[in-house]
Amino acid sequence: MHDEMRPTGQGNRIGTDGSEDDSVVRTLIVDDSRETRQVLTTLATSAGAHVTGQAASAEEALAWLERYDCDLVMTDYQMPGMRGVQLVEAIKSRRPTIRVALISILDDHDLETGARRAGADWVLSKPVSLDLLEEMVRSAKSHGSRLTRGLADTLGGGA
Amino acid sequence: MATWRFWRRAGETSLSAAASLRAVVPSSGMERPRDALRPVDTMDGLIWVDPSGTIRVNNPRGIPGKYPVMVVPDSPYLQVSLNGTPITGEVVVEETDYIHVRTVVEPPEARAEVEVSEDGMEARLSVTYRPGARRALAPSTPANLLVLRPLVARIEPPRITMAQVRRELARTGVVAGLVPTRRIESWLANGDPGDWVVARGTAPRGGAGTLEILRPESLDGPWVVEAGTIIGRRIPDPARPGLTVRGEPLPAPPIRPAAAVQMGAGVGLMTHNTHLVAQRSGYVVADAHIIDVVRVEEIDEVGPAASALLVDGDLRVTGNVRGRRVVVSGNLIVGGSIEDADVVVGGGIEVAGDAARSVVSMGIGRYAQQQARKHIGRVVDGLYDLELTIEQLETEAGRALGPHMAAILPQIVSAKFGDTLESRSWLDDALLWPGLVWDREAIDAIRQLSRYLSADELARDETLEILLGVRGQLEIAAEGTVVCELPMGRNLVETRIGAFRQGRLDAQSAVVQLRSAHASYLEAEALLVEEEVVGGFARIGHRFKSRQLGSKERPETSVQILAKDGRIETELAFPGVAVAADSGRHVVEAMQVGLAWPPLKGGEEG
Repeated sequence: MHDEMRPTGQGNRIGTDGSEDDSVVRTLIVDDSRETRQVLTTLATSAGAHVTGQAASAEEALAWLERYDCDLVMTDYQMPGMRGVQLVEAIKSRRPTIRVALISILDDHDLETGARRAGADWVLSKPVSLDLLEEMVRSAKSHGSRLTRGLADTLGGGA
Repeated sequence: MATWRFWRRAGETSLSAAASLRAVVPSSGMERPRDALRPVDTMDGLIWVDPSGTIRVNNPRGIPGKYPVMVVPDSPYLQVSLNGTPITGEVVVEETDYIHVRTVVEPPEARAEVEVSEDGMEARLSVTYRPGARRALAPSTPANLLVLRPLVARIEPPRITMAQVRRELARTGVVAGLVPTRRIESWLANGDPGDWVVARGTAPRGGAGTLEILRPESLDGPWVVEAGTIIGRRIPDPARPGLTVRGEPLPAPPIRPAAAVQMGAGVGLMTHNTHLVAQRSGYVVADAHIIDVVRVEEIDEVGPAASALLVDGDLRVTGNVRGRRVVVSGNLIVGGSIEDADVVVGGGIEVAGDAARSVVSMGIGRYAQQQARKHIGRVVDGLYDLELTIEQLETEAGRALGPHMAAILPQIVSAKFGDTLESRSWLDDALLWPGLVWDREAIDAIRQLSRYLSADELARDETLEILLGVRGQLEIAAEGTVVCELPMGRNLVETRIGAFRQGRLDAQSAVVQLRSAHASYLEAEALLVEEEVVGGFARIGHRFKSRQLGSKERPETSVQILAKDGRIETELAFPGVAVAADSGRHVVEAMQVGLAWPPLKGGEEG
């Protein structure tokens, strides 16, 4: 497993009570191109996401997801082995709450249709714009109460 | 009975005809004959106008002779009565009839009128003339039918005088702005009708001034001054009130600032606004749009620190910039390299070395506005989530939290609202950035946010209510311009950086030159790369040029041109490169030499 596949240095942000900080969008970057992973990491961070993992293939991404959690996956379409669309299907079937963006160097109507059918939340063409990523991250962030059971019990006990 | 011959000189139609007729009457001392000569073979009565203008009538000699007939035209200028009764048309007359003829004189007319415009700024004199006429019956030869056709003599109207014009001016109240009298007299002297402007008001004029810059003539290169130096002189042109033609005053408008030339924060007006004085030491920028004194700060190195380095003016760093946010309202010039830094500049940026893992943003006003709206959005989202979080907590606790809110709220915010706190910090810091002016209401809202999101204030009972109110203020502020750039003079440096690696370049309105770029996100109006762009994304406004795109390792490299008339050029493109424009997308599958897009040209496979 590549070092990049492990959660990045900051890991999942932890709140002061030991529970996770739901305000961040934990993001997994999947692309066989190292340069593209680096750029997407830079962009996602600029957009306000927290990149918690990187994978060089769909198979590596699925293995990562067995061990760690995230809110958003940004995946390439053309990769050796399992293609991006298949990865989308697999993620959506196992972890339907994870939002998935398929990013491709191509701009193909059939590709988009296939990706949407597989459950992709966004289908983007490279080069992706930062404005679009910011909208994606804002959309991927769950809105509403940020109360987790642990926190509710702790606070309710003290109240 | 003497035989008298009457004749009229050819062409004579005026009253002088009667006089000339009398002249040929033999002066024998005899009276004018009462009876006119008539052809011996006619029995008809005769009627004629004698030299004195009197109508004479002779009855017919006998039957079958006819009585004479007089035809009187219907004219307002000829009044004919027969035996005391006014007549017109055809009438039979006899010797004993008393025929009285009266001609009416048509008087000539000369008129001068002055009209003042509605705004009182112009008075026009209009002179019109109409000739009159005098009529008289011309002598005629005796005949059975006489049609009265008076001779008309023209009466010329008198010329309008200066005195009449003056009376008219006085009547209309025109007392100011009159044209010279001799000019009016020359118009009147011709005797022709006409229309002339005889008075003009004076429009009020606002105060203004010209600015004289006192740059030493012999100086070559930048003009560096110390604070307090007089760099310019304002030559005032005072305001002047106006006056209508009726002598009514018009107030001068308020003083306008000098057109188009703005003053930067580095200059100020002193000594009754006549001296332009450097408010700080630095170099003078004076062009058609702005006058300013720009400070130049020089330091050796910028090392890692949590707080941002803020410079109002230009910053020169001899060495490197590492691990810090640097915000410069002017130009940034770095002798070394930039690493792990976040750089925001208002002017240009020149880096002799490379930029690695750094974010470089150009256009401080644009950047600040974009980021401010983004962070305000995050704060607003966070405060909505906070409200829902508290509601859920109260629902699960089965009661209102009341006095416990003060203990709970700080914990919740700290644990779950890291993004909101991050954005609050960004907004707090950005209020201190140089070269910007913030919307007043946005400042108030951000300051309140900062205060009430602090641990101390979160512990107070009423804080949540206050925060929800601040949320509304922020939402309103974010709809408009939250922040913009202060006017500032700049001697822009060309933006040049060495190798740009694993970073982000945000230069949407700038032309940027790089030696190379690797695995980076690049935005610019135009990007000129000396060597290669390998990996990463480039979104360029008008022009992208690089000697090489991609590499033999085939990393994905995407370039998009946004303007319809934009252009991408490269000498060598490797597989894995995608170029996109309005006209479409092209993915390079085999190495290409000499690629220009659009339209796709060259593309010889290498």
